[in-house]
Amino acid sequence: MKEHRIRLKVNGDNFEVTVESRMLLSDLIRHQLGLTGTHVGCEQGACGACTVIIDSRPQRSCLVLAVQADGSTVETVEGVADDGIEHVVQAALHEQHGLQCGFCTPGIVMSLVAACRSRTDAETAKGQVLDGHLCRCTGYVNIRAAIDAAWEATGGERDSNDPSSGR
Amino acid sequence: MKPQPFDYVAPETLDEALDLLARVGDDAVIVAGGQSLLPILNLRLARPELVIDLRRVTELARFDISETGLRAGAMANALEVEEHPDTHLVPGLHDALCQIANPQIRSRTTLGGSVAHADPAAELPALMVALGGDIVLQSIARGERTVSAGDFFTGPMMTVREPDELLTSLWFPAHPGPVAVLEVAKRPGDFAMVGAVVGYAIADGVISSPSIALFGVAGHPVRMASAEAALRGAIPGTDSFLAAVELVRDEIDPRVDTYASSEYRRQVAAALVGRALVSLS
Repeated sequence: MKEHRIRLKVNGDNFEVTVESRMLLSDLIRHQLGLTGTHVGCEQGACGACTVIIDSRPQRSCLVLAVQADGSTVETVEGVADDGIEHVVQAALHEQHGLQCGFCTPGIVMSLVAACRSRTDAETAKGQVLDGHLCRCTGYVNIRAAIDAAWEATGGERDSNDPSSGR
Repeated sequence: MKPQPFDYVAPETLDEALDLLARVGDDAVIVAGGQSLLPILNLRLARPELVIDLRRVTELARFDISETGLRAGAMANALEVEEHPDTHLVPGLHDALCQIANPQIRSRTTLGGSVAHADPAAELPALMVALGGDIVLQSIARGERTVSAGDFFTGPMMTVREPDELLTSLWFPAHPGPVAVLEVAKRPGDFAMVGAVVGYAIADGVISSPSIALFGVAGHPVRMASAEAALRGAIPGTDSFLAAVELVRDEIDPRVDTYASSEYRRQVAAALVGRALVSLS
């Protein structure tokens, strides 16, 4: 089959859409659902700009076919703030000047939100997790400062906005 | 870029997947985690008629770690194996998994996908070769066959798997001693320019079960037979380690690419083997 009817939950809303087999999840999110906060850089998994949270884990939306997300729960950067109040990770990136042009930021936010929820330690978040993202502006120094600030602010507490926390 | 149009099907059982492969083998690609295949499709390096997705074949996602080794279904997830409390029972497994790309990629990476893809710079194929693991292939025409890791990889992204065969499971036997997995890459998580999987045990004061496999130096992971022979029965220490390192230097004729010359790879490979031997002593 070249077209598929799929159902998925994105930022808490249920969607039922028809997608071509070859459509990437990143393109479904941006072009069909209109959520353009998810950025597309390299389309080969290297840059991390398109990272979204799928079923509680940060993943590259350019390396997932839309049809593969059938039945999944997806979170994009649009769903991170709680009724206009920044997530602690967003607030820390803001306060610590952890972005300049902002192209890579939505992906970084999603990886760090997932890491924060799973209580990944700050060193791993600053190392392995941030290694999954390319930022050509900041030199990463302020992003690392933001991670320290966010981790300090949460004290490793679980995020009440986490849809997986009720499990 | 975007993939060219293809049909997509996600069978629910192994039999269904094998039946599909028997019918369309040559024109189909199998997607496991997709973290190597999707870039290939996006760049149109592959233009299959059909993509067969194994994500619904839940029987392939199981894995079992014991003191004898890891038996992993092809769809066993890298991050789940990495986070399993018993991963240490298979020396080298955790270190190999941790060096695959980054957690965002590993959240979809599958063990079977990495082995079937057979990237010459990949960690898991080298670990399998070093440990003397086995790969199970299944097809309707030939039934099930088990291939040793040393015979499975034939070149860059090339294996003995036939188009109608599905890689169904992997066996990573536990090495009797500790195993080190070291690599040098341009950036952490990037493809290794050179990597080494090195293990040995010590029995009655001498080295037993030495195993050295290099990755990134040739089209597929290679065992260093002469260095292993020199280490077997030797007293662990500077003399025996330096002798092994010299043999590694002589045994390889590394590939060249835009990032590293053959000589650079040779020096790094020798250094990594030396470093690993020392770290295990």
